[in-house]
Amino acid sequence: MPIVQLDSNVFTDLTLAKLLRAAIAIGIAYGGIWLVEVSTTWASEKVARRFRMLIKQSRPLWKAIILITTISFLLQQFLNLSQTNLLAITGTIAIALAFALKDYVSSVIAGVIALFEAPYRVGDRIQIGDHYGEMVGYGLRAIQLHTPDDNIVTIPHNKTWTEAIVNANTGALEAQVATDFYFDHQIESDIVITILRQAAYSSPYTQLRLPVTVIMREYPWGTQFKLRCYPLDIRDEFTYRTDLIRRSKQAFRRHGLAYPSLPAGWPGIRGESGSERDG
Amino acid sequence: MKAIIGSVTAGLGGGWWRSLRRWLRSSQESGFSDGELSDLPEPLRNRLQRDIESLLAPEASRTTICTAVQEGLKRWRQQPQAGNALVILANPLEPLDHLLSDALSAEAGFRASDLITPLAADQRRDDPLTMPELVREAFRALPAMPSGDNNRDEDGGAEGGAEGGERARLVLIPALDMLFLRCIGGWESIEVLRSELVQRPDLFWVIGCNRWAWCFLDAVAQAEACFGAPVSLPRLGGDDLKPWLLSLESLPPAVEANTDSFDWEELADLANGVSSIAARLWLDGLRVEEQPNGAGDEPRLIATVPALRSLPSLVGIDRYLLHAVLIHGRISRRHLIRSLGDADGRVEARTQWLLRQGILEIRGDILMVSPLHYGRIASDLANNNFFVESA
Repeated sequence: MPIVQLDSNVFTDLTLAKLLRAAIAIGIAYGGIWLVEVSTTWASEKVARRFRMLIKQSRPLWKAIILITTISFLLQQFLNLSQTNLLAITGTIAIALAFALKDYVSSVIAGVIALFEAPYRVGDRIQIGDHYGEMVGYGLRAIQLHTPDDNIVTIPHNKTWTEAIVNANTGALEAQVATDFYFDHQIESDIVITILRQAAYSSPYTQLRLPVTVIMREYPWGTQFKLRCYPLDIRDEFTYRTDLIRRSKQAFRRHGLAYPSLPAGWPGIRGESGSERDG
Repeated sequence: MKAIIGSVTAGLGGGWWRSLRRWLRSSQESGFSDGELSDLPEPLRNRLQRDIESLLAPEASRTTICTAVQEGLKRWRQQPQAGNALVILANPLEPLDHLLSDALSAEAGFRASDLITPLAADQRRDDPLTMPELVREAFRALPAMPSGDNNRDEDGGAEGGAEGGERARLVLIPALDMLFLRCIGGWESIEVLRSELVQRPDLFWVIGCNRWAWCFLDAVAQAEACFGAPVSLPRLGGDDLKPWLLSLESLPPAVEANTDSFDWEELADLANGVSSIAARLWLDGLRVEEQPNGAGDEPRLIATVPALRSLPSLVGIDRYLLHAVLIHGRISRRHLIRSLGDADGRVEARTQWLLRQGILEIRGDILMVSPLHYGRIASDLANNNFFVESA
């Protein structure tokens, strides 16, 4: 025996006018979401960089407002939402969804929570699992990443329950770019540090307001120098890294700095961040 | 009440309000139809341009420079540890070398023998890596340091430039921005200059620099910590610009006829208070009034409401290129390519495009930003997250 008894008239009368209104509402919602997608994408690429992230980040909010408004309107059209009915319906739906669409619902709930916790926002450069790229879409069920290889990767929101999410810029235009260089043990490390710092400061892509640092690390086969600095726009990440390497290598050649020579059969060198983020 | 409204509108965005006011005024005050006014003939424009370039710097700028130098000298004489350098900052489009020499010779009364200019402000060396050697060579030619103590005036009483007690020796570096290039090893000459300053406390150093270059050098070489807090040229107002521009000898008298109706404050506002930009905008707004009597009459020039040129749509590399030009003030194509790196020839191509659009101008081989576009470029770069001068 059910705990909550449904009212006899849980559904309202089905009329042609109601069906038409519902169809129009769904059409408007669909059009509205499409308009939000197109207009925010267009506007964010047209305005100055400082406003780009703001416009992109507003997209999920607009879509959520449209969806909530439409669903409320449809429920109000077809259901008698008395207190008793509401309890009974939500209970029934919850049980049904728990069995049939649990992953989908889990993703939707995770998406709603992510709106408030903001582990990622549209425009951020994030890494989930092996996938790294700019977040270009925030859907009801999943997000979309644009990878450096020009692929679009769709990742459900419920990955946030279990996976670590690495966000490189959290809403800012800049994010740190780390570039590794390797040298023989015998080289003069002060020269390398000076060159690397100057390479960063001389690159037109560098954000001069943010710090430039060089970190050293010793390996049996040589010395690693890690240059940490920030581009003006994280979208230039790979162009920036290439520019840093190009400038540095020209100066290294001028100073005759020796690269490490690995013993035969050495398995190879892998940077600390051996992921898709390396480009 | 008016003050409250004023402060509220300023808070809401004075720029928008000023633009609206400017637009309304320009539509009300333009008392001439397009048919009645025509552009300046090229020979007359060139003559006026040459005359503007040879004008003595505006009085407010000269006074600021003189006061700063005199106060710096006095402080140096009284407290040698206070520093023996004074940096004067100006907009990258200002001919700071002329401003400094005008101010120091015409206003402050420094004689040529008191002023030592070891480094000319004309051009960078082809190979920027040889700049430190050039600077060292130039400094080797400086007068030797007197034995014992230096030749500073011990009583500290000198008020006016070269007057009072022993004369101070001033070393003038007219354009610090000409001593570096943004590339690896490109600003080592700044470090040479810094060490020379320390080794020659008997000399007082007056250094001119463009504000964008100073921001860069402060970030990469801690310029302010080395040379001390800089002094900026004042933002000129309408009252400064009017007598300065009307002192042009080659100006036909008809221009003076509409000087009262011309909005000099608006000109100053559009030019961000920079004399060279104001002069160019004013010249750009001059029109020839058609004479109904026909030939034989002197052309009547009318100063119309000036306007900044609108920027065409820029792509990413354009902004990096313009930022590089502004940091260096004036730069050759070869140096620009070296600074930006141009493996695929895009810098060369975009430079040509910017020249065609009038955003960049070229004299000989030297590129600079057009004064007619400077305001909008600076604002565009700031909005695109570039590290720009704050003043």
